[in-house]
Amino acid sequence: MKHFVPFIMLLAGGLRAAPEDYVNFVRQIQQDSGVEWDVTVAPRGEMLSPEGVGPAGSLFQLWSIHGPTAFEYHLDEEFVSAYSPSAKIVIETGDPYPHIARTRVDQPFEVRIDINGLTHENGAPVEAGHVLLTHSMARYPQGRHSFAGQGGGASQDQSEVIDAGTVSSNGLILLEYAHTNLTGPDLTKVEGEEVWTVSAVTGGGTDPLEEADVLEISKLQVWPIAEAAFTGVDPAEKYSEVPPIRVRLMDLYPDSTTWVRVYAGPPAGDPEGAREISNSYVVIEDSIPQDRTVTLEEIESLFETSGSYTLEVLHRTPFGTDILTQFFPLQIDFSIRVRGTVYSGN
Amino acid sequence: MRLRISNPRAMKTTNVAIIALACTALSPLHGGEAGAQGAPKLRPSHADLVKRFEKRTRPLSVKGVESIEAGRLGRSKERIVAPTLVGRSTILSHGGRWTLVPKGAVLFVPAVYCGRIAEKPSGKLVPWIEFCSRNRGWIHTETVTMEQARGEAVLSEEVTETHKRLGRLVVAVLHGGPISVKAPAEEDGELSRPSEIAKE
Repeated sequence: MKHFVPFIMLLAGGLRAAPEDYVNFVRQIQQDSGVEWDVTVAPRGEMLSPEGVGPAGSLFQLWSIHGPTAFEYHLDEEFVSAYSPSAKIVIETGDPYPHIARTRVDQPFEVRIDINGLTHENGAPVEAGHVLLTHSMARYPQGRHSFAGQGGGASQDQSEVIDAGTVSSNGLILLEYAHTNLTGPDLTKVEGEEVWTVSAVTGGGTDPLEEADVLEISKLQVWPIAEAAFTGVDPAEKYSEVPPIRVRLMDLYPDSTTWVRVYAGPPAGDPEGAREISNSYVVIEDSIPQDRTVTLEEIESLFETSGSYTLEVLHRTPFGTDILTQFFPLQIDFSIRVRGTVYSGN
Repeated sequence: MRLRISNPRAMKTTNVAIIALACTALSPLHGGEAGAQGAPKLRPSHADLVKRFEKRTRPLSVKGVESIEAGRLGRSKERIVAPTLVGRSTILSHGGRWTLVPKGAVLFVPAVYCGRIAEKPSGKLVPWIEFCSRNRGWIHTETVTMEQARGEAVLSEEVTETHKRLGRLVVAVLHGGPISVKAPAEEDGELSRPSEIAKE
């Protein structure tokens, strides 16, 4: 136990760090010249920056340093310029998930970009009248549903700029997309992110354009289409007792309900008498797609008579209900049940 | 995350009807319920999507946006963002106390005081104002203009010669706060390092 004591003391000391252990700094960094200038600030209060911002703006950073450990905390940061275009990006999809815009590869969505603060008045620098709008995309690494471990974003190698344009006037820009722009060998299974970025511009519209500070960035997660497969039954076999049927469910949409139904006859658009298998339900309310396996056992009671039946996996998402897979025919033949045995004593 | 998986284990026949009724009642209440109503449709295949995706529009070709080729985009010269404050600062240390000034703020270092520019922080961190006040005996502050800080105007020779005669470490300040000073005709915004500043 002795060796734990110093650790506990250190931990306790850290937890009891007093405000006077911290020294705060505001550093102004002029973006055009690189000049850096410190203003020591009190823990609370406000003050005017004694020096103005340059034509290219200044980056103000608020730091707090814990004296005893020299740990730095970057508390806040603001970019300020005399001419400061701003942008707001809103992505609307069919999924009402509130935390991040997300959709499925085959679903439409729209992007609304509201630009303000552009000016072409006399004396204003050229960068005050233009912003750069870029649209890029990146696929998640194989077998993964994020860029986790990469600082939360795609690397430059992974990301591809698929569209770019300059905006020279304030107002709303509406971009409507019929489906994702991600590509891949199987379009139903691509997943990744599409990103729209509005950036300030330097270079005054000359060639090449130079992208400066990011004013607004917004991303859309794109998820694949789920798929399913039945195993354990053979369409050529006739069953009096249905063996356990395994249903493999892959890439279930993060907000979905999936289940199996059965009905007599071949696959039909609006089958009569379809019955949902009660122990097949899988409900997903998550942030990433999920895989599941469901086993259907002792389902003979669902078949009233001998005949051929269709099994279907249905998958309901915010975008509607899809039939992921169908199995036909599941041949039920109750006449081949063993009713008894006869023994001969000879 | 809430996840419910219905019991995959075998159920007695007598219980099936009851559970089926219960699950039917539950089914409209969860996952994907925001989805549009309508008959289920077959999952699209890759070939279906290829056909749909054949005509990819360029939505940026819309009113208000002047489309440009992505290849024309260039990255501006390295954006000036401090990864760490200490990493972009000069540490002054003496008497068990230390403080930070921006790199390039130290204009002159007498040889005798080279040791007071530290590689790593040690001791008690204090604000610049306090450190300067306590160490007035060997620190001299030189008020510069923003033009001088930007390298657009130079410090007069008289001033620089005075720094050498003072025998004190000289820090450039503006409105009382330490400020980096670019040497004239510096490229790419690289700030002069203290080691490049005049020393005895």
